[in-house]
Amino acid sequence: MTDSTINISKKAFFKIAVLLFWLAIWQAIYLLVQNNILIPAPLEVLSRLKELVLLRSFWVSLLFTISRVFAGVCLALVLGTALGFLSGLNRFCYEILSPLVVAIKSTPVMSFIIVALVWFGSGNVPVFICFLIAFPIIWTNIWEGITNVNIKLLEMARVYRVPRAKILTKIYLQEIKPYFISGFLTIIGMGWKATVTAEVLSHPVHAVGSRLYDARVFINSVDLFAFTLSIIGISLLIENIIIRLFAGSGGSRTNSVS
Amino acid sequence: MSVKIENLNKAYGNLQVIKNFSYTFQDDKIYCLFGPSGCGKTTLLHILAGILPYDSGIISGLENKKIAVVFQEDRLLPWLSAEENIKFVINDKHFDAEKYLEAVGLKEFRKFQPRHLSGGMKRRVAIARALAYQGQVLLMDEPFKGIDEELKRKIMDYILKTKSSGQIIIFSTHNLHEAKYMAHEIVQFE
Repeated sequence: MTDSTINISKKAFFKIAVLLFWLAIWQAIYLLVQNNILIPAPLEVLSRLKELVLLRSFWVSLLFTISRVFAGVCLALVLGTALGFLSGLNRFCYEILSPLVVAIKSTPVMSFIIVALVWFGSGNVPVFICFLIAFPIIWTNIWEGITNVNIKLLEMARVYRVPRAKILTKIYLQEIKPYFISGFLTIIGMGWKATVTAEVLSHPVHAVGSRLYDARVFINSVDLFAFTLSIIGISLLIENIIIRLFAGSGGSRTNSVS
Repeated sequence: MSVKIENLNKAYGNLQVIKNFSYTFQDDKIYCLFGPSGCGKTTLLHILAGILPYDSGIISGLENKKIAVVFQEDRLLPWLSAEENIKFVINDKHFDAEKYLEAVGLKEFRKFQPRHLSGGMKRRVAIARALAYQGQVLLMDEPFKGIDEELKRKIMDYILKTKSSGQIIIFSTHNLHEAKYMAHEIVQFE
């Protein structure tokens, strides 16, 4: 075995050990509480999860929830990036949008959900809520990226009469890249939480949030925990895929001067 | 057309850096701004480059002129290679940046990003970029700082050899040898 294989095996072993440690803690709490409604047994939850993944309805719910997160995040990415960019370049634009962003950030999600329930159909409420949670983060990150662009590089480009399109792609986009990635990773996690919360309250037909709601109504803690685990799992999976995607697009060179 | 400066004044708050400065930079000549740190050499170069406003005075002859600048801090794009940094200021996709990198002894390092180059190497990329731009005015702020003597001489010779007709070169330095070797006229700053 090579050194890198040994390192990967060590890391995997460590992660499994940590997972087992927390499962043991969960089991200990379960044994201590001795109440399946308050804390279900981990093995029972895992066995229910195993049953759920074999059901078509589970995947349909999951797919609908993922598509809502995707729609909300994409909307926030497009609008947040465009408006954040404009706000960074134009003071007037910033002054106009900044109070709106502050208001969105300060308003409780519940208020938005209740208002959205009046405005939209139940399936669209989670998308709207996901967008509202994600938009201020992306807007702020892009605005910060633009305002932190290296002025000296812009001056250099101006002296050399570099065309605007080139300045945009070679300076601005490169400078805001880390801010965009960090914002993107943040909103993926938050988008999940917001979407599922909105689904619980808006109760669309196909949604993980609706299944959580059902579990609450029927006091089925095993289902509640099993669905929650599935959300955590999918969220981590998507986040990892995105991290790998961005790590791959970094394109750093390995050449160096010794 | 020469570049004429009349009664130029520039102050940073209460600190007067340039006071009633007048000078005419003639076409086809090389000028050295010579003097100690903080005497206004960089300020004058930045004013001539058009990136720093001045308080009063008249500057004529720079209108519509292509100006190339070697900044004191290199100002290279960190995410681009040495070659790409040169191409960034040239509006020709097929531009051959290699000969300019060869002139400053960096042909083998054309694919390297600035973070993988030493201070002197970055300086040389900045010089290559300015030379590749072929400006009618070439402004250089302490261009040879951090470059060893032998290479410095080679680059100075290359600049003298490739200087286009009518081009005005203005550079600043603390080094009297560089001033005497390159410049037709030395402008003393105090």
